[in-house]
Amino acid sequence: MLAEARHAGMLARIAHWVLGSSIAGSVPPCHRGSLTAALVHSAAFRRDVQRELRSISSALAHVEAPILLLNGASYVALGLPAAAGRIFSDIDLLVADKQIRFVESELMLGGWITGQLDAYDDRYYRQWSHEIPPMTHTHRGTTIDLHHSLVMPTCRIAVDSSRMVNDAVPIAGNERFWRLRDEDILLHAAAHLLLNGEFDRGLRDLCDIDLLFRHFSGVSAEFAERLIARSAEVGLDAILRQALYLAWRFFSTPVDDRLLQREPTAFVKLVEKAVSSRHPDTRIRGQAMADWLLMVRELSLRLPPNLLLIHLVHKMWVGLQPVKRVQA
Amino acid sequence: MLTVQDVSGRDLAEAMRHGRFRLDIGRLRLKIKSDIPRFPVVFRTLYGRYSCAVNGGEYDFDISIAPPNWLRRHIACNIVFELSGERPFLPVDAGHAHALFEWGLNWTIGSFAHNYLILHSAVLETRGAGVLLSAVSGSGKSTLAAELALSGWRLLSDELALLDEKLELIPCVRPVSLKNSSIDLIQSRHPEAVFGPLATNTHKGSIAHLPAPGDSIRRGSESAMPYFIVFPKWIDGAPLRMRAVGQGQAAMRLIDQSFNYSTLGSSGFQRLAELVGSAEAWEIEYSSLDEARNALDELVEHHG
Repeated sequence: MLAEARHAGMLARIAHWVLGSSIAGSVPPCHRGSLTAALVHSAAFRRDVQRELRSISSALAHVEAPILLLNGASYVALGLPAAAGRIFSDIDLLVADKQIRFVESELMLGGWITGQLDAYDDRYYRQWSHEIPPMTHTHRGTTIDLHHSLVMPTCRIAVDSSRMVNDAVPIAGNERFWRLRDEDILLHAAAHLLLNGEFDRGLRDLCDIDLLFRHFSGVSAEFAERLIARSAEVGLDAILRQALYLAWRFFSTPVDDRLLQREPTAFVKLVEKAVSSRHPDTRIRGQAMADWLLMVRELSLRLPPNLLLIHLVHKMWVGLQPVKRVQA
Repeated sequence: MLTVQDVSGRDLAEAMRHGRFRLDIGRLRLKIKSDIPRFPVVFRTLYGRYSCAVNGGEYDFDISIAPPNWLRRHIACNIVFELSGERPFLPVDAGHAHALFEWGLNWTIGSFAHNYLILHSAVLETRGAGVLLSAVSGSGKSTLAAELALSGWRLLSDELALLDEKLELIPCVRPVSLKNSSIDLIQSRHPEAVFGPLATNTHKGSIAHLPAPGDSIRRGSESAMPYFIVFPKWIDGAPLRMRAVGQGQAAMRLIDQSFNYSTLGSSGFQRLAELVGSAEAWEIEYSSLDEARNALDELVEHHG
C-alpha cells in the first residue's frame, strides 16, 4: 500500500491521517520510518510553499489588482485540511486578462523566467490557453503557472469563469493574495480534475474534493445548498455531480441525494478506471484504453475542431523531426 | 534464514521476474523486480550473503530494473530504473544494470528516507567507534572505505551516512563502488577480493563493485555511535598530513554534503550540531593507503 500511495502522490497525506489518529500507536515500527519520512518531507514542502508565496508577494508589490491563489497553494494559504500532506509541483496564480503582461514582467524582475519554447507552443499558450507558459525561478527552480482564466477559453463546455473570479475575496490576514469563494474552490477543483486529460494524480485530486467538501460542509450547513445554486450559475452542474459521484465512490464523501447522481455516464466510468490504482503491479485492465479515450476527449473539449486539426498536424510534424540532442 | 546464495540462479531469476523477490539490507526491505537475464547473475555475486525471500512479503521500496519499452529492449538494449512505477532517470545501456541499481537505490534513500539526516559519506566502525568519511566525489572516499573494510573495519555504508534522532549511525551495508584506477589498486592490494563485473563508459567512467565483507553484512542492523568525522583527501605523492577541524567548519562542510539537511528544518540543524559537538573532526591528506589506514587506526586507538 505504501508503494501505491507513493505512486499516487498520497503517501504524505496518508502519513498525516495515520500518525495523527488513534491508530498511530499500532503502526508497526518497520512502517513508521516511511510514514515519518513522508511527514518530514511534507512539512519541508509546506515551509517552501510559504516562503515562495512571500517572495511572490514581494515581487508583485506594485501590482494593485487582485492576485488569486488557486489549487494547492490556496489550500496551504487558507490552512485547509486538503493542504495536509499535499505535494505539488507549481504555484497557480490568476490575474485579470489585461493585467497579465504587467504581472509577467514583474515576475521576471523577481527572477521567474519562461523556459525556451518554440514559437508554436508559445502561441498555443498565449492565444488559446487559459495560462501563459510556466515560469521557473532562475535560482530556486520553483515554478509558477500564471492563469487569466479558470478554464481554457476555447473549452466547449461553457463555464462562466469570470463570474467566479469576480466574486473572489481577499484572504483574511494576507494583504496580497485573494481566493475564490468556498463553493468556487470546490467547483474549480472538480473542473480541474474532469476537464483535464491526465489522471496520473487523479486519485489525489479526488481526495482533495472529498476533503474540501467535508470541510466546507462542516463550516456551513448551507454549503451544499449554495454549491447547487452556484454550479448552475456558472455552468458546472454536470461536472460537479460527476466529481462528487467519483469522490463518493472512492472516499464515501457524505454527499446528499440532491447532488448524487447514482447512474454514472460512460465518461464517468472511464474516469473511474483512470483514477484507480496506477501502480504498474496493480493497474486494472483497460486503463491504458481509458487514458487514451480521455485524452482524446480532453483535446476535443479544449480545442474547436479546426484548431484541434492544426494542433495535431503540428505535433505530428514535430514528432517526425529528428530529435535534437540536448547536452545535459 | 535464507540468503541470496542459497537460492539457485534459476529460482532467483524467476522470483525477480515475477516480483516475488525481497531483499533485506539491514532494516531496509526492498522489492526488486527485473527480467534482465544478466541482472540476477551479477546480483548473486554482490548480494550473495544478504537475507532475502523469494515468495513475496512486505517492503519499504519497490524497485524495478527493466527495459523502458519493446523497441529499447530488442534494438537499443537499454534499461531504466523505476521506483513505484516512476522513472527518475534516463535509460542506460543494459550492461550498466547493476551500477544503475546502486545509483537508483542511493537516490531513493536520499529522496525519501527523511526519518534520517542523510550525509554523503562513507561510514565504518572499529573498536566500537563510528567513523564518517565525508568528501566530495573523486577524493578517494570509497577507495579508503574499501581498504578499511578489507582490513577488518566494519563497513556500514560507502556512500550514505544515516543519522537517526538518537544520533546513531544506521547501517546501510551495500557493495562499495570503485571507479577507474581505484579498481586495480584495491585488486592488487587484496587479490582475494571478488569483484562484480566492470561497467565501462558510464557517466562516471568505469565502475566495479566490491561486495561488502560477510561480517559487516551479518551485523547490518547494528547501529554505531559517531566518534570521528574525517575529511579525506587523496593527493598524488603528498606526505601524510592530519589537521583538526573546528566544529563550525565541520558542520558547514557536512551541510554541503547533505542530501536532506534543509528538508529536516530545525531538527536537521539540531542533529548536525549534536554530531559535530560529540564527534572529533579531522582532515587527512595522503597518497599512501597504508599510511592513511594506520593514521586512522591510531586515531581511534588513542581515543581509547
